[in-house]
Amino acid sequence: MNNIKSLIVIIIGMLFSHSCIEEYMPIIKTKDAEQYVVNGHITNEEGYQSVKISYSTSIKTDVSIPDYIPISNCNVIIRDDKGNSFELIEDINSPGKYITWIDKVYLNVGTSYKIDIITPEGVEISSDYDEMTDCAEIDSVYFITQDKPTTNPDSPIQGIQYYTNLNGLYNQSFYYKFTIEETWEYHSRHYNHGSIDYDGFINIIDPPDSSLKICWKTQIFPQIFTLSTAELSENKYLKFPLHYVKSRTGRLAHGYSVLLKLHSLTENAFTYWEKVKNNIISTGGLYTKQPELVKGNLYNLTDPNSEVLGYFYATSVRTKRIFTDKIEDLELDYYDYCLEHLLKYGAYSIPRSSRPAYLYYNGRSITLWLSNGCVDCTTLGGSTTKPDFWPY
Amino acid sequence: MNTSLVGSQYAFETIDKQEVSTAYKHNYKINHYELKNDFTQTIKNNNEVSFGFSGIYYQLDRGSVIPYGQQSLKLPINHGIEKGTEIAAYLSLNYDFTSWFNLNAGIRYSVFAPLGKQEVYIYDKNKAKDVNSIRDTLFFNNNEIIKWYKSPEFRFSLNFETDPYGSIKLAFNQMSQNLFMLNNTISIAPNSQWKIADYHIKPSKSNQLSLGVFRSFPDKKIEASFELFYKMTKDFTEFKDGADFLNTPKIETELLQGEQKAYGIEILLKKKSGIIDGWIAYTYSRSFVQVKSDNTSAQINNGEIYPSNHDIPHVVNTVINYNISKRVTLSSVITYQSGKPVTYPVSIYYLDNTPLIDYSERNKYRIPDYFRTDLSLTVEGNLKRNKLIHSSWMLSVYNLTGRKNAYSVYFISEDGYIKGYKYSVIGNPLITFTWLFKLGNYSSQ
Repeated sequence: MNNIKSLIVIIIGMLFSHSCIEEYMPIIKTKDAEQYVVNGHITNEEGYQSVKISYSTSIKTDVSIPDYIPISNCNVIIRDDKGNSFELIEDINSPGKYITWIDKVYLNVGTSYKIDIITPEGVEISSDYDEMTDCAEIDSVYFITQDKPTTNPDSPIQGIQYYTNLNGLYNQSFYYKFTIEETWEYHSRHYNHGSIDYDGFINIIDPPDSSLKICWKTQIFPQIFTLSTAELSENKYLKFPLHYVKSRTGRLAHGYSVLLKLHSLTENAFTYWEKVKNNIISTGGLYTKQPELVKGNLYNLTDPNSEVLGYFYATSVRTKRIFTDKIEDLELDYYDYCLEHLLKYGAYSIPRSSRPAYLYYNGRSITLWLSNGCVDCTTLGGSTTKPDFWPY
Repeated sequence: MNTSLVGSQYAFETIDKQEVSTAYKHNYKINHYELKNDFTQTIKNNNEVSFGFSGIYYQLDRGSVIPYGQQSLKLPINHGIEKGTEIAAYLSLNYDFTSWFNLNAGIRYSVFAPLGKQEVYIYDKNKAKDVNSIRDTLFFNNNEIIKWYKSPEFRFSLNFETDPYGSIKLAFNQMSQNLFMLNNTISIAPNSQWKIADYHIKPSKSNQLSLGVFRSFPDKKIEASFELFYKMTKDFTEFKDGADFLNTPKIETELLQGEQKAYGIEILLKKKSGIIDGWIAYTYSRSFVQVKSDNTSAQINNGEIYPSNHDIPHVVNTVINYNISKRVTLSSVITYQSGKPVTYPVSIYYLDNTPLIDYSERNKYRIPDYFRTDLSLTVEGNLKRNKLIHSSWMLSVYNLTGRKNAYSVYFISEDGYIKGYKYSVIGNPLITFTWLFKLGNYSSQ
């Protein structure tokens, strides 16, 4: 038996032990941070087909809206497997967006399509062929008022959750992707009563002008929705959850329209979008899951070691639009981006650096200096042109 | 003959409160009971034959992930209890061919069986294992055998004494592993989980070949060794892309098994006495994994080879003692390690108006290297022969340079802002003062 070892350790010293967390940004190789991105598809809808070409950008800690760097002057051709090719031309209003009109006779279920791109630097990018599949019907789009829990159990987020029901046939695709195009009407708080320009000239409009009061804004809802019915006994789906609209946005105040687009996909395209969905920037730790290495169907032929992000796919599309007006049991509480300053010393007290500035004229005197958002609804990105589909 | 009965329990608890609304607590426990019986028989010329058997019973409580704190919205998940048994028999021979040439060879045959109670899902063979590809469910009663895994393991080592000061050793080993740890290198804390082989996850099997050269230089009081190794492992378990580390009780849907290949050299120089003594060790080793399949969703890194979570190429450790007098010693420890491999977000891009993160290939990047220096001064008590207690004082500084060595690097997104953070455990010098005492005098053991 070993000798009994009797060792006792007494630590008298002080332990300054603590863990620490500090900001740290690793150095990322340029080749990884700047990659070609191809975002586009060909649909069975007659009209302009479009493809966007851009660069990915490095991660910056000081910007909340990452840069979008379009690539202009590319040579872009969509080809089908029947020998037809369609050249795309850059949209003069939107750099990096390439468009072409393809006649309906060339857009058929069962035909496969690919894209070939030559960038201004001469880099050749090409995709695999992707087959256009048939699309299920959208049976309905509807919403249900729902609360979402927050960290404070007493004040949940209130809003409405949209759902859709699909009704597909056996010979239609089992793989889908949704695009949600939302349009809402919003009003600026004030009519245009006039303004002061840089040189101090005051222009009072009486009666006030209402042309900038009402706007409509349309945007693609920034989220990716995918659905597979391949494992179901029928090509149908009830109550598929779409997006959620919070009561704390002004979107629901004066009418809200949703255009749901259902895109049929091949299984490969579906797998791609399923994976991409995991890499969406969401609030919280990015690493509660092992990140996905996503491989699309695009290749850099000039430098095969460089990745090309994105997926070029063919799809047939079904659409359904619904309009939401007054929502019962939902109290709206939102900020309208309007700041009013009381003018104690008259309009000339507005510093030159802030002119031209909108003014509020109560019929007798100028009482308020109004921020642009109070008067001009287009400052929030909308347009004063009423969309054709707007019901009133 | 030697019989032993071993019972042990290992328990662990992780609390993650980094984010209030997803804070959780996770406990797990491993119970391990083992009965071993070894027999040794001496045959002529001091050669030995030994044989024996062992039985192991594992009970692994994979624990529950439960919300931590009143504001946590985490949904509780119970990972359940897993049980398994391993029964093995071995035979080994130690044979001296000559006084300078020895062979040690053996065979071990083991069977491992995961045991019920368990509900096992059967998945569509042609599809990735996930909720959508479940085709059937098997129910196993308590302690019912779920599956048998049999593995014969061979090993041998040849030892040549080249002269009184040197030897060469060549060894081959086969091993199978039924209990393993799942970890990832990308979360804030390594929410590692233990797992035993089950219906879907096979035990991993490895073959290792090593060659060692040992030599001492008595006139210079130096010992040196040099070792080369190469190891191949089959059914090495890795988290697949998109795997959720904590929220899926059906772990087979989050894992894939592939091949691991590791190799390296280890060099050790040791000076045993003198005013300055100590040792310096350097290891260059690499470890790579490949998970390849006909089914692209059952691949990792597009089926291409990538550095494993444990790939740390350079490791340098030194201990240098400066014996100022018989009672006073100044010691220093220097540690250097290459940073662990990690998968970083590398860029941001837009598809359909949605900002997305592009991640690097699996483990393409590395967290910063690890470097640490410790210093300590030891003062022994008096050297009197007859005393009841001998004591010593030690003043030591851990992490003298205060380097904030990264334990992990992780990213958080808040309102669209992406922030990277480095987490270090002890990021400043740590001073301790220790009084050590033992019964007897300075030289007693």
